[in-house]
Amino acid sequence: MKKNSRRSFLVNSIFAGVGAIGLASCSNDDSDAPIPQNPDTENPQEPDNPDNGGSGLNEEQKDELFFIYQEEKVARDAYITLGEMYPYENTFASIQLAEQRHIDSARGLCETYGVDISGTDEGSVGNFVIDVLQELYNTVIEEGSNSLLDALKMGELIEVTDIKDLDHAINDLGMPDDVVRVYESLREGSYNHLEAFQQAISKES
Amino acid sequence: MVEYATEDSFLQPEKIVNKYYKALYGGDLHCVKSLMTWKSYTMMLESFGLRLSLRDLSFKRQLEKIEEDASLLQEVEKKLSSELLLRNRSPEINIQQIEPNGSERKTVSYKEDGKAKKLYFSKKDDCWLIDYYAGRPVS
Repeated sequence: MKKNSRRSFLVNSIFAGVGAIGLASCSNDDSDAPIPQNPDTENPQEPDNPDNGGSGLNEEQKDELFFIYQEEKVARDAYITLGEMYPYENTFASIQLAEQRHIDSARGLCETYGVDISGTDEGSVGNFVIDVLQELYNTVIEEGSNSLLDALKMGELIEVTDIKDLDHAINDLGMPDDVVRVYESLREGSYNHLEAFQQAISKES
Repeated sequence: MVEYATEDSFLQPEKIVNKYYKALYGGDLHCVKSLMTWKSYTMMLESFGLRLSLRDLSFKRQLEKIEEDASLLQEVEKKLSSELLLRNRSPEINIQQIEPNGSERKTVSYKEDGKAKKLYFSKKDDCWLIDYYAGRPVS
């Protein structure tokens, strides 16, 4: 059977079992985010080799950068919407700011490597031109609308997925060092977000 | 796993968009599979299967193993097909624009029930296939 080179999306978290991932690396805390364990802590490094100018990645790697950039918006938009649903739960509000930085970092990598993102629209919350991303967003919001606990579990699920996707991008695609460093930083932030959601779930359960 | 050289695959992208939606919500995943790259097809299964995964533990476990076991893929397709049919959706698709993206890619912009959407296509063995990774503009 043909192998998929990328285990992507929220299914990764389903497969992993939400909450099953260990929190081995949560040390990059330099944020004043008012939520447990400072989940809003990542400070993604900028690519350190901006002179590559698009020459350092093959076509598949560029496609991956472009897709990850689009995919990052799902998390941010989900947290914005869930945060509006549950305004007294500040985990969503805090982490959505960090997710915007994830998008910024993914966009920065696209710009560094000459990946044209001019046709994408970051601003329209909850709207995705790609049907699989729209379906993911819709499902997360639908499930999250059932209760605060369900919403927090959706946050947990998103973060587990982000970690897995970033693991793949870091380990399996032969990305250059500057890309790997950015993704490692994002992954560390996702671990912090995951821990914040898990703590909020414990309180709510 | 994917039989690319099907009759459907020789369709132009704008025709494939309509066929894709009809097949998807008609629960005809065999047809859907013939219209997409394998990577995009598994992505579609994961995305549209998330709802079912959250409620059906056995489906979730089967979905996890579809790339290793063809029989599990069939089970997943069967269950998801039924779930998609239950949604009872038949969105109105209006093609807006077909844009070449280099020589081997195309982007179709359309409206699904009035909402702007895009499907990306890449060419494989002279067949146009839906490819979610083909959205990056190339020269």
